[in-house]
Amino acid sequence: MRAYINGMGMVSACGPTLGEFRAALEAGEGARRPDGFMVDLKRADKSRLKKLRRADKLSKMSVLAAREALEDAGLYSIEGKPSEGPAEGPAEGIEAGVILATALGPHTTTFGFLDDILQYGDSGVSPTMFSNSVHNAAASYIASDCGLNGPTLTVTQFMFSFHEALMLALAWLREGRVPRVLLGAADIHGEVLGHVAGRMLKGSAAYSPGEGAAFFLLEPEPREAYSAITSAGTGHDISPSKSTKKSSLLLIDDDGMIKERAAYKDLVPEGTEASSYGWLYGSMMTGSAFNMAAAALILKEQLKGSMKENPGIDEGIEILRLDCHGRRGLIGLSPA
Amino acid sequence: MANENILITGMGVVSAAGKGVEETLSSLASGRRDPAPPTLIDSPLKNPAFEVLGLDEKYCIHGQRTLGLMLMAAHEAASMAGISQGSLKGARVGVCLGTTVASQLNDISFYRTYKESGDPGLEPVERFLGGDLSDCVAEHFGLHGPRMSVVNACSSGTDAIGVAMSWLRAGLCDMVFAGGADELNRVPYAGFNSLGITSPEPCAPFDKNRRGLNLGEGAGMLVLERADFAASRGAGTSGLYAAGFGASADAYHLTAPHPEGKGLRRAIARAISEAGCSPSDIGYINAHGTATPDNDKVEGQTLLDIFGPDVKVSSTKGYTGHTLGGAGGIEAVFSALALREGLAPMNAGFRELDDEIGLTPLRENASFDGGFVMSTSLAFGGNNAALVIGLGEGSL
Repeated sequence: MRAYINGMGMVSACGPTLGEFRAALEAGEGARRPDGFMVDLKRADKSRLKKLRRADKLSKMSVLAAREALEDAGLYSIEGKPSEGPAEGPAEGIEAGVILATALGPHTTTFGFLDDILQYGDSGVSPTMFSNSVHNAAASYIASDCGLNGPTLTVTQFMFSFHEALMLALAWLREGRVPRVLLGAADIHGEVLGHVAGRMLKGSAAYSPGEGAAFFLLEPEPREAYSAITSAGTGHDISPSKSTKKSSLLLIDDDGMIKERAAYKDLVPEGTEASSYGWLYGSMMTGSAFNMAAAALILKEQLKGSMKENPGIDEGIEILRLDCHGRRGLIGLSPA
Repeated sequence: MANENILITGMGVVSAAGKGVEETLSSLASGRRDPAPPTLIDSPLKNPAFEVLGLDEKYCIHGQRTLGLMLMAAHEAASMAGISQGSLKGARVGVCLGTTVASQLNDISFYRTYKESGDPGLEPVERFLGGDLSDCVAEHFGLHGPRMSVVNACSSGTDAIGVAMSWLRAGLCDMVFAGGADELNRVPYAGFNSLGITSPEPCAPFDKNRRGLNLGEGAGMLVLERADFAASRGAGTSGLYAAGFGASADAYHLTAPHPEGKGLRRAIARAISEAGCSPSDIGYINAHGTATPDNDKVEGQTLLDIFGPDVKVSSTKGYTGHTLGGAGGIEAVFSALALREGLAPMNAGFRELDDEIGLTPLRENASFDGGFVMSTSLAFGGNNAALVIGLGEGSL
């Protein structure tokens, strides 16, 4: 079954909006800082964060991106809600499921809670910190902020969190469980993760920590869609299509999350045009979502991205991710 | 796909109520329960908890107790389903499991060392990164298909079963190992205490004088498969099938349920509609019933409103404690067993009707009519999930 990306929302190192991600993609310039690809929420519209004062950064990034995806799809104005500016309250009536993929969840908040335990003891910990340390806090804030009453799910599968979430979104649409799915990925960087990754990925030249949130409004029919999603899968035996046509592209998630970068090279069929967009968002286990956003923009607007010039990518784009155990994830997109 | 096409061919369960189906049935029949201050975690707090005592050595995996519990339930479920090593070669078998603890790197010892020396050993991290529940179960049984760990707080297990049903309907796989697991862990133990919703006494779901929840641990798993696949591999069936699933968000509050149970009503309505039955066909409801003031009030009122005062309902958390991500899997197994046996377990701990709720749960184990049972789960974040299980003609 095909599904269509009818809206997108992005919070990345490029900025807290899709527009900034798009501009960086078009310019071919990422936003790497000395500490990696970090999100600066000071640049976000404050009015959109006013209901999220107690939320952590992961939840704030997720809500900003999710809401932008709904707005981008023209869905935030129903039930009398304004299509621009902050919502007055939940916009009841949008029938949508929410699936949030996260590899590591709100780990910075979890470590904050552990700080509480170490400093104040088991009976002196913060209930607010605990509530926000639960993996599904971000999706809960999304449902509440956007007034979405459909099934709301948070899933994790480390390197393939986003792929499995996408496969489920397609299944939900196929069985008619929901008319649309707000699908997203979000992950955050933090001090402990930086320490761990620095040691475990030592020698991975491509590793540069990233964080952010990417959301997609998926529907079974196109409405000024960015692109169609034609396939999604994981396994040990799936491979990218061989194509020597200049009109197709293979995006590899070569973002430094595995040491053996040659594994990607080995899987790129000879003559196939391949590219990577880790320079745009950094290293993240859920980086495929950001690559999917880049691919969708390239297909719709024919941006040049990493290419010297866009030869006209109108056949399709595949996105490939590997883990260190030889498992693969593959997503296929085509023009809408 | 017709509603009777997702068969339950295997079940496995482990909790304080018993290690395995038979021991669990015996505990539920006798009303036996024995919560006590935890021995598995080092905490100055002494609220009672429901621990799994005497876990077989082979399931005591260092630093991965949740995985050990899950594997124990998985082995029992696979055995009941007639799955042996290599018997699923070539089949597309998914694994979808709910958890909370296994998804977090909440190793206090690791973190303390990191804070103190800045150079902790990475073994806990490697264990965590290699410990995704669904990956581990899939690798253990050599399964090839979609894998997902659902981290939806207390409804994770029920939601995981719902995902499995969607996978089967969408044709993503032929069979799914679905359920959930969680170990008793110091972080949620302290966290729930901080929220002021843990009881210093054995929990009393739906009781007027309930004082909060007791945490527990355990795992529950269903083997779900398409009827045609079960037939093709010659699997015997008990007639149990996953009939309907519904989930809905309250979109209301991070920790409190919607006061009118809006999300729960929608979830129940969807599950019943999918099952092709009506509320009067539901013979027994295994309620979430955590014994917290808010949950039981909202859930009890909602069930009373939808199903009427004569509905047979109980919470089994009086036997297991609240097992968080494991609860949905464990209670799905309890529900399926109730339907198979025709006997609903009583609501341990209940003594006095709460007039504000108006619902009287089962005071004694009771037989019931009807070809369907339902299990409900409510969670942090306002998630609500309902699973309807049906009983058709079996071949055993």
